[in-house]
Amino acid sequence: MDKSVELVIELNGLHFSYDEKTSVLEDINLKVRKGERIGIIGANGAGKSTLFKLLTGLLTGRGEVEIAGTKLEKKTLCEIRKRMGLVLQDSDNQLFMPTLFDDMAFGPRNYGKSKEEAEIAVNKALGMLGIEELKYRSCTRMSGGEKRMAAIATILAMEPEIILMDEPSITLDPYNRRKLINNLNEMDQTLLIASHDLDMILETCERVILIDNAKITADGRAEDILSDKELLEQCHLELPLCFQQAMPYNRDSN
Amino acid sequence: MNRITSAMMELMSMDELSRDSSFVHARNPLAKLIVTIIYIVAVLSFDITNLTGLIPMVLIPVVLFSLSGIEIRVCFYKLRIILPLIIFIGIWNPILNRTSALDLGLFVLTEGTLSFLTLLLKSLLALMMSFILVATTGIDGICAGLRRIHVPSIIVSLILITYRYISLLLTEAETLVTAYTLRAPGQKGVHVSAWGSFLGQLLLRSMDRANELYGSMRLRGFTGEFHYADNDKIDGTDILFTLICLIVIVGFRIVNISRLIGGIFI
Repeated sequence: MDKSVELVIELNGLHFSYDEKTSVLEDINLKVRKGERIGIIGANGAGKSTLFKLLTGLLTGRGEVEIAGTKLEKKTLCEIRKRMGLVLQDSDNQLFMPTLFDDMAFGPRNYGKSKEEAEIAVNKALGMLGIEELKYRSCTRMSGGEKRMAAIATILAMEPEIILMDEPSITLDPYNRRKLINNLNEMDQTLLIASHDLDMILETCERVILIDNAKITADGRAEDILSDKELLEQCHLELPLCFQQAMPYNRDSN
Repeated sequence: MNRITSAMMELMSMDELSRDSSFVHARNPLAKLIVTIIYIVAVLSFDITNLTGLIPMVLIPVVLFSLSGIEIRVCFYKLRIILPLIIFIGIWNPILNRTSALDLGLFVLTEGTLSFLTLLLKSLLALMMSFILVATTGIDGICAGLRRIHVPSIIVSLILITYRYISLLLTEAETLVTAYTLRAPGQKGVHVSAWGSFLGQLLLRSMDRANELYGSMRLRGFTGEFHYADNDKIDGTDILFTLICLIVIVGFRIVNISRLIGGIFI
């Protein structure tokens, strides 16, 4: 790994279990450089969401977590969360204010931005995702796809250096999914995307981390890992559709 | 639409009302909060039989409703659930206290009836004023106002989060009821045999979601303080609005206007 590039996330021997019997994550060692785009993949229950919660301090495990040179501790939580945004898997849990504008301004205002500065950040994020028309809409009156875009917008408005996204393309229609992929490709922040949408991972991330049996099973170039049929199938995944299309279509092959 | 959905719609409609624009909507939350608190204290401080003194207090919420552009019938519609409870509490007074307060020959007004009417009016006025505060300020504004008058952040957070969790609880209940109804065609409501698991599921799911939601708030810098309202400065109009309201409230509380007007004619 090139030492001249700044490390923004460093995990050493991270371990987590909910009930002390079964490990959800075991001995996770990971280094993420500034500006990297990493896809986190794995079967259901592999620990992808748990990893994100550990990185943001919502859960506490054993081992060391360092974000942009700051060790994750109770006293550094605020500083770390200011630099890192997490888009939750369920958009309903992310949206709690009466309108999208209030929701988007919530983070920037809490982190000390004035009303005017927060509004600028909100407008910028809305423009980036092309959802300006949702600005004053009640979050409860949005469709699933709109909620997803809105949840992403609440994090973009905070202008974090690192963005963690848990299943960002879930509930999006093909048009909005494509729009999201384009947006992700235009971002210059460090991105960690946990998803089962392997085609999206392939299009947006240059590096992939595969989690299986609570451990990092593979860490490497996206093209290499996502084209390894045997490895993916061992971990209850399958090749991205773009690689499958090279094979003849057979409905009965399953 | 089932009852849970309509309850959610009503809750949302309160938020929507608070986003309108009017003279009352534009006032600082703190100004409206102070006026509401003083008004409620003044109304509650009236003697239980002082109905005539209380009647002029009706003018204040009526004027505020008019200035806010919110129809009073919307308020009464929302209060329809709580009004029977107030009536139930006060209805015993006319039965238990039959001492004559006013004898007009054919009609005798008892102290019980008088206290019942006063209690009803007091509750109605306090609720109307609270309604106008919530409908023109929104829960976030109210919480920010409470912090400004140094109500401990833990209490304010509790109010805000409880409000947020009501809609969360309703959403979860709606999901469960829908799932139940789809597999129990022809049944009216949830069968008693399913109540235990239904409530258990509702509790567990709501707790899970509440936890996630609170996590999302913390991730965006929420520490119990309402920084987003810090810049909402009180201007001259807010001070004038508060002063006029307070003078009218105190004036109506000290001087019995009804008796004064009656004295002119008698």
